Amino acid sequence: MLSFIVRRLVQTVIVVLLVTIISFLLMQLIPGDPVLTILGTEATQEQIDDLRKELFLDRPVYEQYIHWLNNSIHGDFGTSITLRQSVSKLLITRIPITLYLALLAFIGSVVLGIIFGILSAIRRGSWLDNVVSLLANTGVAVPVFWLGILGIYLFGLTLHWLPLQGYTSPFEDFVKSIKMAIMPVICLGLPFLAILTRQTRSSMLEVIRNDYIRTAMSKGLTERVIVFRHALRNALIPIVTLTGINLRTIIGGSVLVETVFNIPGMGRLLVLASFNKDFQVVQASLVIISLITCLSNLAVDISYGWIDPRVRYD
Amino acid sequence: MTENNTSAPEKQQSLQQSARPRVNEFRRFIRVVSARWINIVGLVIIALFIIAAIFAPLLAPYDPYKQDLPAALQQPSAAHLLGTDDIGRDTLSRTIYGARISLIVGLVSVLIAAVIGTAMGLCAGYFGGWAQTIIMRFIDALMSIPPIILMMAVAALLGGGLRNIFIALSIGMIPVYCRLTNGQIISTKEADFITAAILIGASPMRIMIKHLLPNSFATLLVAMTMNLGFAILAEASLSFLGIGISPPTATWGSMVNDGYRYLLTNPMLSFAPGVSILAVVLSFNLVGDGLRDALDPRLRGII
Repeated sequence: MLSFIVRRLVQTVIVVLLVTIISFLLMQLIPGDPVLTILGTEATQEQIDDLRKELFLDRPVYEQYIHWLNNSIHGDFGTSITLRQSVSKLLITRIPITLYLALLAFIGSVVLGIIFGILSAIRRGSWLDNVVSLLANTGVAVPVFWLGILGIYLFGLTLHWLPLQGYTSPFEDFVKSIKMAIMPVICLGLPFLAILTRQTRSSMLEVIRNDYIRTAMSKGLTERVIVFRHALRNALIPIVTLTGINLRTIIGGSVLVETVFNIPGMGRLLVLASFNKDFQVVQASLVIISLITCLSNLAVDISYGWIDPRVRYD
Repeated sequence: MTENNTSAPEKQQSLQQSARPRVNEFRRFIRVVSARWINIVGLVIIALFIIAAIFAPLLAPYDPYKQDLPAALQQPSAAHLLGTDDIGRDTLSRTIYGARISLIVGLVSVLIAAVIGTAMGLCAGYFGGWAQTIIMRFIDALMSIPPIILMMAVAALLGGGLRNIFIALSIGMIPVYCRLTNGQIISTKEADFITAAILIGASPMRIMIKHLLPNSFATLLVAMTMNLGFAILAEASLSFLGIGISPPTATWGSMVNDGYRYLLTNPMLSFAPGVSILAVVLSFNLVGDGLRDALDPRLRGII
């Protein structure tokens, strides 16, 4: 087990290192000179040279990379060229907001997705199954930014049930925070909820065909015991695999949802930074996001052993 | 997932099948796809949007780019069925023209991603060893970033424009095809007909293209259909964020964003393009599901 975790951690480090290389190379794609973008056209040659030296841009690309990597490992991602702030500080204030909403969306969709999936599997062909299937298909296809706008129109502007936009920390004003989080969390979670519902349904359908389920039924066990004790546990492995892959769907969605609801999280920061070609911020965000994805995948792999004792880590 | 553990009854079934007279594959395909009404609905919606895209100049009642300030922000009426936007452009015409961008971007970027991704997956799977490690680790790295964020970063850094959107969207979708093909190749590489091909001296190129690729064709086709929906959704998301095809061009994503400001007075401005995105993406997903049922060899003889 321990050697498995160590091996996976090494893999994670390799993947994240590759991401740093990829994102660093991406920044080389930016047409034009970043120094000129920062200083504008009226800068003197001396100013240009100074800034270039300060940003290490006068060195060859590999030296730039090593310099940047060395600083990043020590927690210094450089300075945002448009916001004139330390990138690490920017990210530290914004990541918790994104993660808070993402976690709410994640937990909500896992709970609801499994319940919906089970219900539609054991009542296969019923109206409930049809409604759930329709919603699951729509949930994958709906543009989340548009869903957010629909929500604002219906619950905000027309019915006045929920605030339109913005974000409040739960430590500041809990009720207001929850009210403001409802719509963004639904938009973030819906695509994931839809995928998870479909997977739970098909994986439950596969499991309940097995002989041991028939045995359990003929023993006269209640439906609840059969579903949760016998079927769900065996159906869980593909479902858990999917949760690992799809946590990134939620993080990806935060880019759109935070824009629609005007939430000051990492997604909104990333959009603005991409827009302004603020490469220091984009680089750092890509690396941090990839780290989050890799660690959550690791957590999923470790949880296999807990769900299914047959899984061996070697 | 379940290829390797065929249970006894399934084996029996496949034996019975081989004894049956050959079915016409094409007829079976048509029958399976048309057996479910939902597949037909999806196909009809896709056909309608393709027709709208091709014949946009004939179908659109107005020029989608012609400004008409006196007629700005009109409610839906007989003259403007879906109303007009803030500079008097007809929403229906713009929605029809928007289908062009969405479908072209979807099709081209999926094709690019499929060709590059499949080639990478083929090489990784066939050569194994270091080639595989390097390619697949690189793909792992790409996959650790949510596709929409990767696409956004690439598109924004390259600058807008159709060509850069193609590049950005394909980079986000390459990992899917690479993994898919790689997995398929690993499972068919050891088959006898591949050994036979190697023994008669076929070149690696010939083996990959003539013998290995056709075996993953069905899976690839399903993935591409599903991905078309995803690509259209991604393009709409990018143009909603304003990182994509430049403003005057009618794209559904940017129309939703433009309409956002007039949500209270003219909700139709964001509703019409939004519904179009939903309809097209949903249809491609449904048809993809239908194709999977029709092309899945394991379901042969069952449906």
